[in-house]
Amino acid sequence: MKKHRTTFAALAACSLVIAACSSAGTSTGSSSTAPPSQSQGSGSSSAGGGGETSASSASQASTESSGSTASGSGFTGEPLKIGFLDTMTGANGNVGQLALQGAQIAVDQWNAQGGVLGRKIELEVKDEELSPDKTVQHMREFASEGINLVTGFTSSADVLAAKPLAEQNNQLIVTAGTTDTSLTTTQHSKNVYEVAANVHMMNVAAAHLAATEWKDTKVWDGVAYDYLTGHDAWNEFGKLLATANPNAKTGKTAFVPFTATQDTPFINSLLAGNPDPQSSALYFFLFGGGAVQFAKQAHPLDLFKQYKVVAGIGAGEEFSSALGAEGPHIYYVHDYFYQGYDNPVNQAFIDAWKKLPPFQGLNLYGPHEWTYEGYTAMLAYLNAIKTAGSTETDAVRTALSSIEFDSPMGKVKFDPSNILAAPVTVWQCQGDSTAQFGYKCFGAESVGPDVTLAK
Amino acid sequence: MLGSVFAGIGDGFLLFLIASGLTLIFGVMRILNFSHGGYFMLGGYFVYQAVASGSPISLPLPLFVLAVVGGALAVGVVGIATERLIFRKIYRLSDIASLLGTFGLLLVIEGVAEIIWGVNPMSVPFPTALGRSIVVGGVRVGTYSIVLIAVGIVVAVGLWALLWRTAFGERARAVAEDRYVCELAGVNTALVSTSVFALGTVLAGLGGALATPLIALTPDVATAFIIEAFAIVIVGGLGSISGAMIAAIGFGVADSLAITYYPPLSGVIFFILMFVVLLVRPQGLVSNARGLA
Repeated sequence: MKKHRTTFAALAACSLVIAACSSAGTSTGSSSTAPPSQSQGSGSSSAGGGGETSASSASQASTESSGSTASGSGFTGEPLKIGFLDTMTGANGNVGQLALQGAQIAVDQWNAQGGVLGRKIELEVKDEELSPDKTVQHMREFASEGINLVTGFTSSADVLAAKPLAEQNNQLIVTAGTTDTSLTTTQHSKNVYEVAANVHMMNVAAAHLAATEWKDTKVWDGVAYDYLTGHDAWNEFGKLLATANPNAKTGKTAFVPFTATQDTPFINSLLAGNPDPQSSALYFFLFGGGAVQFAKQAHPLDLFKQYKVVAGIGAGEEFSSALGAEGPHIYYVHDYFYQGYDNPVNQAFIDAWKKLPPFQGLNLYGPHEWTYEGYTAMLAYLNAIKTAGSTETDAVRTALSSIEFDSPMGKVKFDPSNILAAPVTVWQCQGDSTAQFGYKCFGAESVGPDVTLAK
Repeated sequence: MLGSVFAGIGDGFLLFLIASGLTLIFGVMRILNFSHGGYFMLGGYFVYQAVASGSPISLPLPLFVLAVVGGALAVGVVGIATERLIFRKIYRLSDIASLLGTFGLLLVIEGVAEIIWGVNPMSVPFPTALGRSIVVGGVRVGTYSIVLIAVGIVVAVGLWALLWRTAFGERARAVAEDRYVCELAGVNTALVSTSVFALGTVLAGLGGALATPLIALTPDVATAFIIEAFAIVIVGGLGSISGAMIAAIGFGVADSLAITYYPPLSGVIFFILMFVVLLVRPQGLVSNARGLA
């Protein structure tokens, strides 16, 4: 029996390794998620080729996204299929699903106006399960299906996996949610465009505010995920802070593993630095479930109350939504906040979003920034196709690099590095038991690309 | 130092709640049940469904207690159903096949949870009066951590009493030692197995239910916690409840100290200790050659 037990122990040890590996890319659902039902075109085929891009896109956006207008009678060519490749299931499936929401809103709005180049737009959705291997597999499938325009993407690592194939097969990628700075710098590709503000832009915006609005903060502690981007982000912020505000310095840091189930020791290590509520600030580079878990375990220890400013880099309202009334007062430093922009495209986007059914478990007052990113990535493609008068890769790429188009954040265009030169938005949220969802958000302001992309 | 130790003990007792059911099931049924993490996750979601889905604002303590007890019992019902429908077939399989079978079941449970509750992180507020901290020996300790420690101690004592001071415990230990002889002696071993499995899953559900104010509920918490629970069960000695408690607290404290004094070891120390213990005592810290310890 003793031998039997030893065998079991060895078996279990092996299984732990297998399970640990499996957990990183576990598929818990179907490999392909169907897009929401699509609206057909209204038949008013006003959108032909050419025309003034920005004006027409504003007009497109002002159209309501409603399936009830569907008829499809105005389409003159074969449907145009655009690939949507993102993580749709598993731990970060909410990111891909929210981005798909946005992409679908844009598709519905354009189809209601006759599509693009007279063709109905369809999304071909695939789930890459946050796996570079799956990403490569699906990119190959897109190529074999004749799909040369792809959007989506949450993980920068998956974009790096897809990049060689995109270059080899002459496919274009407009990423919605990736934020790693390397994609448009050291790993730049002429076939990859990025819509979301990257970590560098968000860091510059945070450091800019640390020297202006938050100039009373003297010590910045940091908490980030324990991975390369987490360390790089914190190190870069420290350098930017030293330049922007020489009176401030960095203090304690905690790097939390993605797999951590117990965050209290990390919280204690930050508290051990005795942060001063009058002059300390916290750089918070956690997101997803890990950020919520960290905040839950920090709540009884009043960690966030020890800081005058908590700057959430890359996090968003899913954090405040999950925490409800327990949520800390946090400044989000990200790309989009729905209250921050007053223009017809943003209004049409918000109006279309309001018609969608509630997203499971997510209590939002307006579209999430991941929805904005999916929406804007699709707007970039559609405006580029329209300007190019073609769906060919080279023509669309040339148009992407040159056009200025209307987005929910106003007129935007891609920087020569291929990242969207759009503002970083800073807004505040905090738990409020009197608010409808237990939290409220307010106070949006923008830090423009003239600051965040300044060379 | 004291703060790290307190934090580690609190974390350890939460892990003990999960590991105790896992080791109990192994002790009697001789099956390494990877799906145990799924029952843990279900306990959390049941509490969420009961108390928080419509109102993330506040949570009265009595409602939370009711939800935790109800959630744990509901998981027990799920456990009984899966034991009868699935595990009775898995028992007959080889060790590797049963291990893979239970891992497959874990993925199924995660998938079902994803369909029902989605992938967005959810949370349950702290029950009133328990979302704060007190100062003990100059160290700030969360009151909820103290509750977890208390519940862990009650569960440990209760399990000991159940297994060593009741007729049910006597039968369970007998089945654990020699199922064949028990069947010859007229013991309803199937009933004992179902009961023990139900108890094990109730403990997993209790762990998940109690963890809800401290974690972000997503379907993959099932996998995150089961890996640590397995390490604890292996180090404590397969089938040993007292060993699981020692290992859980030891691991919790070691991880906490690592984070405080040498962060690169955080998360890794757990598995380094596991391999060291396996090298020195492959049978685990506390072991009984046969049956439960």
